[in-house]
Amino acid sequence: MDQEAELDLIKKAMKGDAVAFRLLVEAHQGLAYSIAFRFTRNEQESEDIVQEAFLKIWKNILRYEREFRFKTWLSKIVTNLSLDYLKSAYKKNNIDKNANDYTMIATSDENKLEADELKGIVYQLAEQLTKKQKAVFVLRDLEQLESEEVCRILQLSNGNMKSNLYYARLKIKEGLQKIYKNDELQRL
Amino acid sequence: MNCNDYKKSIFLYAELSTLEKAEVDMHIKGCDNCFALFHATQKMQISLNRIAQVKVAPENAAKLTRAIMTKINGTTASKWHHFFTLSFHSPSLKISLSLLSALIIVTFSLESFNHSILSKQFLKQPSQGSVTLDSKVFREKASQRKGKASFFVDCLSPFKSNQYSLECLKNKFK
Ligand SMILES: [Zn+2]
Repeated sequence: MDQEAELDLIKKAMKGDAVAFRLLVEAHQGLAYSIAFRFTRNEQESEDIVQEAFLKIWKNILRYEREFRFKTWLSKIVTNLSLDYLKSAYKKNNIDKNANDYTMIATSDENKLEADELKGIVYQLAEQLTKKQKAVFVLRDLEQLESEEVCRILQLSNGNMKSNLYYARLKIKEGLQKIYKNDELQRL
Repeated sequence: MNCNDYKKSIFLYAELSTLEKAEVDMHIKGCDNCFALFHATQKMQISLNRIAQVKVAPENAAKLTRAIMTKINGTTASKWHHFFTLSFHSPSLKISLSLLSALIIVTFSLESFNHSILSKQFLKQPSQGSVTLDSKVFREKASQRKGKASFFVDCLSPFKSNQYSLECLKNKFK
């Protein structure tokens, strides 16, 4: 959807046009779900976050600022809701912070890890990052958003974003290094 | 810059400017440790890209859209909220309201001006049987009434007997 068509739909939604808003939902719910899932790793929770995010946008559509893309605004809300969920989940101990179980999967096949396994390991390693590091890592490395967009979504300066990204990548690499014992990553 | 300074740049290679990238490229050509680190981080980034390429999508997109729209349509109050907030944000409505208030002020001013002219004309030429509310006339009439009342006052003293009062009044009428 080009920016002009998107703005037209937003203007209609501002007048209470639910049909126009539905088109915005259809165009962007995939991105919203993807971000939520990469944070939470929980299908039901991700769907709830997406629903809540769009409801929030609908209620506050008149506050939409033209200088931001709709997807930036949506990503920001989804990221905040996901981080809130993780915070409460950690409190309830629903998420295992000690990701030791991946070692069992990893060492079961010493030569090559399957893509799915690698994915699982990366996500588990990401659980050990700080809130900011995880947010930057998910948006930049897993959602592959532009650096400027990540800064806008998380309201971070470029320097702060880079610093968090550096520590996130460093921790992920160190975690992978422990598992890929005979791999080239071990060389460091 | 030493190897430790290059470490951060190597991890953030994709985020560097062309000039910064060229600087890192120059260093790793002559430094085995940094070259190995660069190689390892690039390998990791490729793995992360592969994970990123695996699209994450809701199981039933249409169902999710329906759930979102049900929640939105449930907020009927927001439609009124939209209407009112939008109305007060609308410049055309603001102009219309200003014009209307200006019109009301002008109408009232003209009305009161006309009324004051008409009142003056009525005072100058009082029509037959009309009641004139003029303070000067009112004061004169009041003093006349007062004079009439004082005519009997000395006969109606509470310190005198009723017989005296009757005699006094009779004398006055004579
Ligand atoms: Zn070096």
